Amino acid sequence: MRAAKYLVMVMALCWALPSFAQVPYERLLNSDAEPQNWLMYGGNYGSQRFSGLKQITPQNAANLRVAWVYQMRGGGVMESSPLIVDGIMYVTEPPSNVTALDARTGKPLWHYVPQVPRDFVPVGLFPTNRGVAILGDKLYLATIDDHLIALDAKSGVVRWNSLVADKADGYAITQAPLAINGKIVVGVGGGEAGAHGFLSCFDANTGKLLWQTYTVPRSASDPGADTWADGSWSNGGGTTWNTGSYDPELNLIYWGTGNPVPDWNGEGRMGDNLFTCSLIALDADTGKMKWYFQFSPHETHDWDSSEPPILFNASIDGKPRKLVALANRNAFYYVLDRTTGQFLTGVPFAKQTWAKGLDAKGRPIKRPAAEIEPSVQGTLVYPTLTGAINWTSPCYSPITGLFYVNARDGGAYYIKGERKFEKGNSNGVVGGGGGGSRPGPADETTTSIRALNATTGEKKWEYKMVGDSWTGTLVTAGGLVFSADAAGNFFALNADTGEPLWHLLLGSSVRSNPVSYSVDGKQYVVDSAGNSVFAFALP
Amino acid sequence: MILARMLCAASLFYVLLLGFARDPLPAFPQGPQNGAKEGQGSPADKLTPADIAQGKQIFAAQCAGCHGFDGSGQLGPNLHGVEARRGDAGIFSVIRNGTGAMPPVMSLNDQRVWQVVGFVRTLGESAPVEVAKGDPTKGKTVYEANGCATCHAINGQGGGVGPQLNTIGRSRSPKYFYSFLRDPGKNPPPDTSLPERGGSAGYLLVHVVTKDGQDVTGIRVNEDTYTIVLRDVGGHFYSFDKTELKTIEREPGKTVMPSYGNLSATDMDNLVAYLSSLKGAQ
Repeated sequence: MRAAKYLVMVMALCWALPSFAQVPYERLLNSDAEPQNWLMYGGNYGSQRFSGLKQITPQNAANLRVAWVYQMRGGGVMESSPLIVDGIMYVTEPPSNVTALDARTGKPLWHYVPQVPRDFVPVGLFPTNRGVAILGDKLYLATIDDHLIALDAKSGVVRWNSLVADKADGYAITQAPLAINGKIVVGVGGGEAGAHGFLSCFDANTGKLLWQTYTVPRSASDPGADTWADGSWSNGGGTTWNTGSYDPELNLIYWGTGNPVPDWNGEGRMGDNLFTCSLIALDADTGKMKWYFQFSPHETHDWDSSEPPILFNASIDGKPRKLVALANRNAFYYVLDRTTGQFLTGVPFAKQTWAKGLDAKGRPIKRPAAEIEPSVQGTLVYPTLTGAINWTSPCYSPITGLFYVNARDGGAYYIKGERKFEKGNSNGVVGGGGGGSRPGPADETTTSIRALNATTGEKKWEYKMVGDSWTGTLVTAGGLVFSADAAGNFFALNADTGEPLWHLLLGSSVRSNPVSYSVDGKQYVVDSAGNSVFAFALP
Repeated sequence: MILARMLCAASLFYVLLLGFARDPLPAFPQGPQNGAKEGQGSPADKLTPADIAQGKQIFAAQCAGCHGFDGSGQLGPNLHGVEARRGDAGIFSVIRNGTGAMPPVMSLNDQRVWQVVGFVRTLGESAPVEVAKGDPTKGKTVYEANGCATCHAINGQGGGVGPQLNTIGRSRSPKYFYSFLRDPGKNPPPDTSLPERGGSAGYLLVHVVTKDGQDVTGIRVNEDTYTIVLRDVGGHFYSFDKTELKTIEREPGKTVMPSYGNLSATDMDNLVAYLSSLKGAQ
C-alpha cells in the first residue's frame, strides 16, 4: 500500500515535469487545433497571431496578475517571440542565444549560446533575435552571424550547423526561421550594408541547401535587371529580414523584401528596382517566384516591405477569396489575392504625406519629388524612417474579421546620402536605430492600436497611446487584444470595441510580440520587457 | 510597526497629492570626460584627405542636426576642441556607444566612424572657437541678481528645477546662449529622461486640471498612456492618474524659465561670458 502511494507520488512528479514531444509537420499544419501551444513565430502559417484560448475575457481581464518572470542572462534588446510546445517555452536572447523554460514557472531547463564573434558589428540593425522554429525533435535558430543551427529540442545539443550567408558581405540575421514540410526557410538582413537579398531553404534533417532565390538581380540577364539603371542592381538590397508566411494548399511562401541600396539617394539607381519593397510568393519546393507585388517602386525613405504578411480568407463581392494583407511601413494597408498577387485594396492606416493615393493596380501616385525626396538639409515627410509599422507583428481575428495593428503617426526630415555606394558600409546617413533622417517637428511621434476591417482597411476603432511604442499585437478567442505602450504598460483591450480593460507597468519598453498559451488548463499571456520575460495569468 | 506603516502611507499620500521636493537631476547630457589624447596608432592618424571629406559628409547628414554643420553645437554639445578632452578613442566610443541623449550609431562600420572622428578632429582647426565678448566676472553678478540660482545649481549651490550648469560652457556655444536666454521655449534641450520619445523636446510645459478642480502647471517629468508626472517651478512633483484629470494641455514652445531678453546688451554679453566660462575642473 505504501509502495503504491510512493509510486503515485513519483508518477505525479513525472507528470508535473514538462515533456518534450515531437512536432511533426502535421501538427504545424493544424496548429489552430492546439491553441494551448504556440508552434511558430506567427502563431500559424497565416501569421495571424490569433490565440484560440478563451479563459481570459473582457469580463475577467482586470484580474490578470504576473505569474512568473524570467530574467535573461546577458544584455541587449530582447525582441523574442517565444514558442510554447507542450509546456516548454523556447525563448531567444540577444544576440542569438536560446533558453528552454518550464512554461508554468519560468524556470530554465537548458541554455544554448552559439559561438558568435565578439567583434562582429552588424550594419543597420540591433544584434538581437526574434525567435526559433520547431519541426520534429529539432529547434532551428538563425544567428546574427548568418548560421542556421538545428538544436535537439530536449537538450539544446547542436544537430547540424549550416552557413546561410557570409557576414563579410554585410549579412546578418535576427528573424525566426519558418519550418514547413521537411524544410526550413530563412531570409537575411543587411540592406544598409548592401547585402543582396535572398531566401534560402534547407533540408530540416541534414542542413543541406535545397534552394536559394535572390530578390534582386545578380546579372544583367536576371529578371528585373532592366528596372535598375546602369547596372545598379549590383548595389544589392531587397533583404528578407522578417519571417514570412505559408499557404500549404497553394504551397506558396510569402515574404516581404527590404529597401534598394543606397537607401536615401535613388539618383544612381533610377527605375523601379525590382524586387525590393515587395511581397514575393515563392513555390515552396523550388523557390521559383510565382508572383510579386511591389508596394514602393524606387523607394528612397528606407520603408522596407518586410512586415509580416497575414493570410486569411474572406468574401469579396460575394466570392470567397484567398487573401493576404500587409500593413506596410509606407503607411498603406494592402489586401491582395494570394493566389495571383492581384491588388484588391489599399488605404492609409497611418499619417502619410508621400503619396496622393494608389492607382487601380496599387501603384502609389507619388507627390512631386521636391516635396518628398530626401535632400541635403532634410525634407519633412510622413511617416518616420522607422515607418508606420516596422518589424512588429499585427494580428487578425477570424472571429471579429478585424486586422489589429500598432500604427505609428509621425514625420521625419529625410536627408540625402551619397549616390555612390560601397559594399559593407551604410551610406553615411544612418544614425542610431535608423538613419537618413532626423526627428520631425516638436510634436511627438505617437502610436495607436488600430482595428481595421481586414478586407477594406476601414478603421473600426483605435486606442491612442503616449509615445513611440514598439510592440506587436495579439488577439484571442476570448475577445482581447494585447499590446504595450512606449513606457512599458502592457495592456488588454476589448477586441470588439478597443475599450481598455487592464494594464500593468513593466518598467521598461516592450519590444516584442505577445503570445498566449496554456498549461494544465491555465491560460497565460507572455511578453518581454527590458531584459525579462513576463507571463500573466488569472489568479 | 503599525505606526511605521501609517507613516509610510502618510508619506505616500503627501508625495502623490501634495508633491515633494527632490534632489536635482542633471538634465543635460553628462559633460565630456577628460580623456587622454590617443597617441600613436590611432586609426584617425592614418586617414587621408578623402577620408576626412567623407567624414564631413557623414557628419553633415547625421550629426549636424544636433551639433550644427560647423560642429559649434545646437542641441548637442559644441565639438570644437573635443579631441583634446576625449581623445580619438573617446570620440569613437561616444559615436559607437552613444552618451546621454545621443543614441549609439549602430549602422556605420568602424572605418566610417573613424572618418567621422577624423572630421571632428579638424573642427578646432577649421573654425575658431567662438569667444564670448563680455566679462565673466560681471556676468556672475548678473546671474546672481536675476535669480538664476533659484532654479540652477553651479558647483553645488542653487536649485534643482533647471539643469546644473557646472560645465554648460563646454557643451553650449555663446550663440546658443544668446538665442536661448531671449526665447527659452524656442530651442529646448532634448528630452533625456524619456528615451522612447526619441529625442523630442524636453521641458515641455503642461497644464492640467483635475476633476476636483486642482490646477497644476509644470514641466513634464514623465508621461505614459495612463499617468503623467509634473514638476512645478517650486520643484514640487505631482503624479496623476489620467482618469483623475479633466484636462491636459501641452504647451510646446513654452517653458517655466522666463525670458531674459529684457537684459541690457552689456548685461547679456556679460551673462553669456559667465555661462561660457563654466567648464568645470580643467
